[in-house]
Amino acid sequence: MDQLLPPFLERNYGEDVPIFLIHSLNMWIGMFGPSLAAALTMHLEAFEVMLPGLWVMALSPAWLAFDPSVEAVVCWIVFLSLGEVLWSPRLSAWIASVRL
Amino acid sequence: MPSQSSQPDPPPAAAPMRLNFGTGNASPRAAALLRVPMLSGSNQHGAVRVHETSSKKKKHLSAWAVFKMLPKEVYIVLLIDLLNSYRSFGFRSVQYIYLVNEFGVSDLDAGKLLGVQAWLMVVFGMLGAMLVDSWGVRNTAITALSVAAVSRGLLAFGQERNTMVFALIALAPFGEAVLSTGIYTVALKKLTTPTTRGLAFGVQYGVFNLAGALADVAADTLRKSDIMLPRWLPWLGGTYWSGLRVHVFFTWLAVLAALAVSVACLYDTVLVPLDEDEREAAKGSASPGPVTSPLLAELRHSANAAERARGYAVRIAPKTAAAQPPPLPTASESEDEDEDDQDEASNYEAFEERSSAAASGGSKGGGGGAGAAPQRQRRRRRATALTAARRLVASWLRLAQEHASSAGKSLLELLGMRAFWRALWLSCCLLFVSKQVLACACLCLPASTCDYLWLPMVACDCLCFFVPTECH
Repeated sequence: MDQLLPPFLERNYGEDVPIFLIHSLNMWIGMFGPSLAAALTMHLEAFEVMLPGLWVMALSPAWLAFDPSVEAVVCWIVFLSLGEVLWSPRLSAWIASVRL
Repeated sequence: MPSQSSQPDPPPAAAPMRLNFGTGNASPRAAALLRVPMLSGSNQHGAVRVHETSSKKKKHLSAWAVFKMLPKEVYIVLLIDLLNSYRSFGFRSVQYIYLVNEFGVSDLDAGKLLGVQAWLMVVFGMLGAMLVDSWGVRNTAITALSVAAVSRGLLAFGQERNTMVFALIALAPFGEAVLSTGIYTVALKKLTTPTTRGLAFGVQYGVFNLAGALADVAADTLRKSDIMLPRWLPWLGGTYWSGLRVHVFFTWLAVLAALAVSVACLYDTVLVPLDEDEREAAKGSASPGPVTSPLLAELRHSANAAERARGYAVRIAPKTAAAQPPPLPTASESEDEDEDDQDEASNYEAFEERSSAAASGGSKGGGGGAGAAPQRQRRRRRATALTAARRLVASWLRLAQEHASSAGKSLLELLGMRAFWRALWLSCCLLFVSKQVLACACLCLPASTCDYLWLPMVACDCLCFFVPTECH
């Protein structure tokens, strides 16, 4: 995403597309999402949260398959980020809980 | 116990008191934890709480109350993390376009360069983790930020392709990867208790993402217009810089700021809970080593009112075991070793004398005379030094053999654990799902100019379908 998204947007949809603002959606969601996700999924086990998160993130590029457009890219980033905030913090917590 | 008014002033952040931890002397309350070895050949233990030892009920603290409990050293780490993340994300998202537009690199070459850099970062990431352990957070941060400042400066000011390749391949992996691995994790872990750790890591995650978002917004704002540099500037005055180059220049300023803060304020500090229950809870998961009772008493005595109210003191961390000299032998051992040395030296001397006599064929008649005594003394000294060196090497080899044997046993046991293989398989699946692999998709650059961008990503991501569900 970091490498491929900017040239993809610039070459296909022109320089006027807010490339980096779209890219920053991942960061904004990454900033506010984990605390919200943690609050909503606190009662669930780590893997009960991580697996759906992984599915959401894995399927997120499929938006581009249905309709290659700027909107689809936005959907890709949003769903990728939503999946990420579900599994990534829980993975860290799971690793921290596995004490050898 | 002295009164609060007689407490010494808190030590300044720049030069906190040095603390030396003892080893052993486990707290008597450690019996509350049944510590069982996970691997029989290792010293690592898993802690199983047998029963609740604390007489106090756990207080439920609000997030704000926990946030206020964080020591000010955490804010320094977070500030450095913010600046360093701005530097890192600020270039990561623009680097492909920057290489192509500013240095005239082709798509294929840009893909190769970034691919090689990505592999080097993996290698330097591992190196960074080891460096943090052996050098400490401060030394590693300063070294890596210095290299990063040179690297980013070359990228911001350089016009030549060779300069860019040198900065990107030779310098950037060290500067970037060493900082990105465990340095903040280690620093935060040492500065938090189990009560405050979750919040500290959450805030760090937010800061990290905030820096990236700000960097993206800055890139989008700056990239649309070129800027002419003021004419009074030496060398560069009057030249035009693209918006992207200006953005990279700002990331260079962020590195310099991070370096300045690290030099002035970042120290290898460690948080020692003064409260017995907190110290017990921290065992097995916190970095502070076992604190001897007299040291804890001294620490409590020297703690100021604020530190007592918060329940912990922050001090400079002890040197790591690897950095410390080997322990000195005890008096009896020294005497025994001296005697052994003397014996070995005498044997060596006799052997040398016999050898030299044999070499001269006995023509000089016994080797006596006025110069014989100092010569013998010199030989004796040399022989003693040699035996000492031989003994040292032998002890190293013995130690290495013991460690290798222990590591081999641990490895075999680890390979026999089902949980290990599950975790390994999970890691492989996550590798392909993570956004870092999507970053590696730069190798599929021809796809970026067509509408089939999604194909390699979905192909990689589909591996997550094989995440073992029995990992629950």
